Amino acid sequence: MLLDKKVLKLYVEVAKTMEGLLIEFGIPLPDRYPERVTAIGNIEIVTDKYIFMTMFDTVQSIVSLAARSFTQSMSPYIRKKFKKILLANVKIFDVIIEYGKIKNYLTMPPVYRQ
Amino acid sequence: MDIISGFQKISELGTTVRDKQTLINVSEVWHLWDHLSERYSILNTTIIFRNFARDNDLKMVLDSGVKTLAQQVTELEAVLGEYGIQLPYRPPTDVVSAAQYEAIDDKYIFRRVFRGIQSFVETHAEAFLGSTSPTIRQKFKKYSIEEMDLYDKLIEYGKLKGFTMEPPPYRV
Repeated sequence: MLLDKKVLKLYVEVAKTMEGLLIEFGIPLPDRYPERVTAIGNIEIVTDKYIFMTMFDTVQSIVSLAARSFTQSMSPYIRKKFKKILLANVKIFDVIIEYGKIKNYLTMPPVYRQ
Repeated sequence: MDIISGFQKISELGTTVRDKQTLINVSEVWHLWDHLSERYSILNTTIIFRNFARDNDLKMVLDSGVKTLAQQVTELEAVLGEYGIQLPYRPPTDVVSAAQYEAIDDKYIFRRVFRGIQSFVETHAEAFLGSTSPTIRQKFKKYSIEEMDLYDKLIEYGKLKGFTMEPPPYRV
């Protein structure tokens, strides 16, 4: 449910925003992934923890990337779009990290003092 | 998230500083300390440059920067004190200089402050990503958003005055 309702929805929106920007400025777009994946070979490998960690790493790197893009853009129009993307990802990172802590998928860094 | 950080605050109410240190992780401690020492350094630089600024509206911009920084410094010092983390040395309270250097003109001051804030936005994002406890994460998120709003205003001011440098445009 977390994946469907929040994460998927967010990234479909982010992809649409970026596609709109690229089309507007006439920049060549990259290839898209297939719409649906139906057959997977070894399904035991893909555990819940694996899915969660992949998603977590992705969101972390997108927050970094969006912050850098925000500082490096000159026009207010583009900067506003990156700010929106950054804030949406920050919001979802909050949710994901709490979920990971509850389900014990995340390895926590060492505590300051035992 | 506000609710979860509220829960954390309630659960931390009766704890001693020693106990609180078991709740915070090393990455957060580093980021908090690093943010405070960077802010001290930027505060010192801004106060020094305030003496050399010639334009009145640049002086106003620097003054509002100093005010925001001082407020954030107070907040950060409180958080570090709460968790019993060693504080860095502070810069002098104020710097008043009567000298005038031609080399340090308004454009140089603006560029220096602007590059500082540019790199700071990423620092905030990294600190946000590396924190596990909700209260500290929320604090970094707040600073991040404040910094981004400040950056928006500063870049428009810089463009108006002609202080910013435009990267080369995209042309096929």
